[in-house]
Amino acid sequence: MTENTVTLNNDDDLKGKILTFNVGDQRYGIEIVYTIEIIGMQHITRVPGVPSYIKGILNSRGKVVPAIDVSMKFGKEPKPYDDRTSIILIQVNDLSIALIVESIEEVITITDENLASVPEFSQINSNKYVKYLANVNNQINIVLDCEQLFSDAITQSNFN
Amino acid sequence: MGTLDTKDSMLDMFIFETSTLLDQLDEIMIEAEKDKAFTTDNVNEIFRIMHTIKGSAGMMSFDCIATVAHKIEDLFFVIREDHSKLEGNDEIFDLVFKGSDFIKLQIEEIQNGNEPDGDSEQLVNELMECHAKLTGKAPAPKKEVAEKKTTEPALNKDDDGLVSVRVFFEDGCLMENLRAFMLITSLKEYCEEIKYYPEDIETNSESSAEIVENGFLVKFKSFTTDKDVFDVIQSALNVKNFEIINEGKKEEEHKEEQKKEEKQKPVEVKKEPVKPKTPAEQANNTISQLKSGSVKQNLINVNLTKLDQLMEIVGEVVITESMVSASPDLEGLQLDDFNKSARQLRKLTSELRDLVMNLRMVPVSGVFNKMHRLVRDMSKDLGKDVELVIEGGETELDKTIIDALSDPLMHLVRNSMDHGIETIEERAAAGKPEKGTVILSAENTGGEVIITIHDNGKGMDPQKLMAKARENGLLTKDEQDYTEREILNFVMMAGFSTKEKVTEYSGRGVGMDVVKKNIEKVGGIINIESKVGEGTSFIIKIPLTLAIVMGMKIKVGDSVYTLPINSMKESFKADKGQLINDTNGTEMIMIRGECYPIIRLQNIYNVENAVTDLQEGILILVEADDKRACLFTDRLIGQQQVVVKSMPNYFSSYNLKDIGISGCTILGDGSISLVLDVPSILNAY
Repeated sequence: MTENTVTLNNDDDLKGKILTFNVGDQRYGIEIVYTIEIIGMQHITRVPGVPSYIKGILNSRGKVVPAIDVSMKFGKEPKPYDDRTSIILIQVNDLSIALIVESIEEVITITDENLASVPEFSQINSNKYVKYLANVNNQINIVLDCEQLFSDAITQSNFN
Repeated sequence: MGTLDTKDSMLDMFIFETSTLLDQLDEIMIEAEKDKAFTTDNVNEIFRIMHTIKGSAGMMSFDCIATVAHKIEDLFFVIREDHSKLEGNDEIFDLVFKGSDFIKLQIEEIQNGNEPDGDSEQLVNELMECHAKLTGKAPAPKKEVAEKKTTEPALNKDDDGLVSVRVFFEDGCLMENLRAFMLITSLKEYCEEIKYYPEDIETNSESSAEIVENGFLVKFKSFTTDKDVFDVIQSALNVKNFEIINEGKKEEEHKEEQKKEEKQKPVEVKKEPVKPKTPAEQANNTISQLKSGSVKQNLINVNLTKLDQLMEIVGEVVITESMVSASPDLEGLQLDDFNKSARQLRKLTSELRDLVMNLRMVPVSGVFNKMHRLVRDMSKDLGKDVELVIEGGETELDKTIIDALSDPLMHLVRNSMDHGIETIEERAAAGKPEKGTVILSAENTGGEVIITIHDNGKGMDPQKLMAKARENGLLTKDEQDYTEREILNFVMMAGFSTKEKVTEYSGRGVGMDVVKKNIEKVGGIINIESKVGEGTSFIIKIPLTLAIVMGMKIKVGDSVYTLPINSMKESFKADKGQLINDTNGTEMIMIRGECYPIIRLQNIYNVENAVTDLQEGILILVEADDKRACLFTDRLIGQQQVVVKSMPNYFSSYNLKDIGISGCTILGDGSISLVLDVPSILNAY
């Protein structure tokens, strides 16, 4: 999957559809409602003075969008970018963000049967970002809560 | 009552128009007060302004505003007929100002989402007394103002020969005033003459309460028979019942009584035709009057968001045009025709961009003129004689900047009036002319606009300022190390204030630092110059266009940064002999006898692969405010007009501005270049 455009139709079609991707040996997912586009890796302009998981900014059709490395955000070892590395452009409310992921997997549909409860994770970090877990084809998918991921961008000021 | 949308936009329109009219009124009044006379034009203007406000306020059911406007209109009606009435009646000026202030206050309430329910009674009484004084008549019957009170309206008496009925509407049917109005409308067809109480059913919803309590009083003389009228009343919607109060008198007596009555109550009768005017008619009057006023200026009001959208798109067009012309696909190709067209396109895009930037430019005179009123009021209150001089009012600034400057400017003028200019006695004692001067000036220097507020008052004493700073524990270094400029800037530190007592206008120490912040918010800077005994100047510098700047692209490692040309003084390659290290180990360079610190961009921004040898790269001497330094970069790439975009909101909590990044721009090849802010860099490093 190199260049791909996911169009948003009406919410009903998209509910329960998750776009999954790999980070290390973990499978993560985000709800399709938030995704705008999937693009290949492109040049990212470094921005000084920000945490290292914020790789910088990139130009998406004339719009300046911040780029986040998901692996680094979750404290994993950053993997060098290769031709499988992709960027998922998501939009939460008015905020546009580009997520850099190691590789894109597929779109899966979640039903009530797949849902698993969120166990106590040892990593406190990941916990608040996890919306729910889903077990599809014997693969555990950690579905992220996009709104949480970005609300802390706004409240980060307290940390600085 | 229309949908919520119409109501809101009507309200916006009302607020905007009324505010504009009140500003015009203030201007006229200040002029007139100086001359102690009104020209015919002035009188007509004021009359027209008040008439318009009365009409539109009435339409929006803002009665207190309408009443005040009406009274002032009455006043000027008299003056219009006979200007000599003005003599010896200076309180008219004060009254009109009071009226204008009252209405302004109500407008503010409306803007805050509250009902304008200010108590206009005292003001209205004063206005009516003045009116009476001018016309030599006793004030018009208090009934006009006291419609809500329970004084006996003449209509209740039995001797006017009309049939009186009291109509009651069904309990809880609501909006009794409107139902009453509908009733009257339908009754009019059957009656030769009809009177009713309460009279203001069309405009005052509170009359409903009166109707519910005491019933709706109708007096009429029917064309045909009384019974017909009774039938109409009975069959009218929501009428519960009605009672006949008196049967009416015989014809002759009836007519005589009527004649007497008409003479006694000229105002009452005249008022009736005015009230029931249909809302449509009133609207037309208002609009045509507004039109006649605005035709003079040939302006059109445009929603600011539309302008913003336009500007954004034009900005994108500029970028895209760059991308097309500089497209790597075209590199090395011989394309004469294409190049010719491309040049033409670039020229047109430039013109388009300039025009659009200009759209939002508004002359500063709008804000400056508001100060006249402030100076007048404060002069009176403080016992000082001050003249406000305005220079360069036609200088233009972006509307958002002007809006942001309005409050700071007002504060600075207040400061000059309060702390700067001395009282008449003090000035006389100091050998200065009694009249103090405050000069507001604006000047366009190409890259920026300089606004100065200068007063020839007592100036600021650095000694006193230093003492105060010491008292409040605001000193961060040795007293001798402060330059005079820095000492003068103390007044803009939070919590400073040198005024001994807190007045209505100033003294709490929270003003000047806010002024500084607000000016810096729009990218400007403020400096203070002062001479003890002679006066003080506040100098505000605002960069002209925020969005589009001429920038120099510089290469540092793999990154390209953009430096605004305005901040660049010169660029050069360093010579070994010029490089020195100071006692702290900071790298410095000596140029023409002056020493400047060297700031390595690669270090402050952690750029890899940059040139490290000072003699290999390029040094750029930059200046901001008073500070100068040399930025070390790999090389200069070239100049380019860039559209500066602010950094995405995601970064808003990281304070990038403080480390020198004011925004970013998309270069011709699609890559992003961070735009540097020299003042911040010099401050931080």
